[in-house]
Amino acid sequence: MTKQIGIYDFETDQQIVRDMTPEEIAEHELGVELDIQLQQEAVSKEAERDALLSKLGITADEAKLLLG
Amino acid sequence: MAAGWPTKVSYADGDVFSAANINDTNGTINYIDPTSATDKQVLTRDAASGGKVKWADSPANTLTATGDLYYASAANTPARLAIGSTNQVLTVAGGVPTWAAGSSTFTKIGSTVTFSNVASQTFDNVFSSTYSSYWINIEYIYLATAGGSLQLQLRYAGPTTQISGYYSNSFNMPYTGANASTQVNGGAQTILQSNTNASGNSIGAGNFWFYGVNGVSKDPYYTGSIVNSAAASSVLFNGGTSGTARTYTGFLLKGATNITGSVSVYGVS
Repeated sequence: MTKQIGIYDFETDQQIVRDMTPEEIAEHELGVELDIQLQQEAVSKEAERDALLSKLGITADEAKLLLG
Repeated sequence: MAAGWPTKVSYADGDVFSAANINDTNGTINYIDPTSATDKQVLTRDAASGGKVKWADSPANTLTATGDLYYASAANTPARLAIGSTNQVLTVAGGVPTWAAGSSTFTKIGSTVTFSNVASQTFDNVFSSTYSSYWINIEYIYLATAGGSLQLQLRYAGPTTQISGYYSNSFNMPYTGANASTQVNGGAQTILQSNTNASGNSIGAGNFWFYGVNGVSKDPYYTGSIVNSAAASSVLFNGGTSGTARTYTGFLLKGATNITGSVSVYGVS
């Protein structure tokens, strides 16, 4: 499906919606890739935290208490 | 004619009646030619000429345009003040009323922008020297697929999208569980919210501010907060910069998947 961009011009108070140009699609994909990367990092951090809690034998709430 | 009330005027064949026949030197009464007046003038007493009457401007012929205000430019001197521009307020300068830009006002710019299922939504030609900062009110926003991020970029002359050098940190605070920050260090865009809701039935709403986008070349700042009821979390968008000084003219919102929302922009002066 073609990606679309909404363009609102406050000088004319008009909204147009059109298909993205190849350049705009490429720019948009950069954001999607970054998003995937950030989510993977978040999952990875979560896994590391769970592993550490397991190693210590405490729950997340108990860890919070420890950290004050 | 002698001073005092004229008691009798007699005509004879061939007599020509003139103002001199009725004006008296005491100013008690005088003759005014109705054809010497301009439209909508009124008769008024003229102290300068011994209390005779004269034609004078009325409110009706002073107020010549819609919105005109009637005021005294000096003692006993009616004057017209033309209507001001939209969002101006009536203030005082030099002892008389005048229109001026409101101080510390919140002014909605253009219409509320609604968009549905687009990959990106731009807000162009919105920043200028008119306002010192801008408040962006996200009345609702959601992605086609839950869980992705809501992203922000800036726009400048062209309009062209700034696609590098963003620095920011958004702090996701779920109602339960651990908080998490999403850092952008010189990235292609700022992350407003790392975990955006997908359903239009759940509220994803918030607001953020722009500073340093007032028509001059600057590296602007932005900060704000968003609530995501679907993910049971709030996000403190703890600010960021574009990393590049430019005269920015607008901004762009986009998501990991298509976005739907309603956003209003307010200028603050």
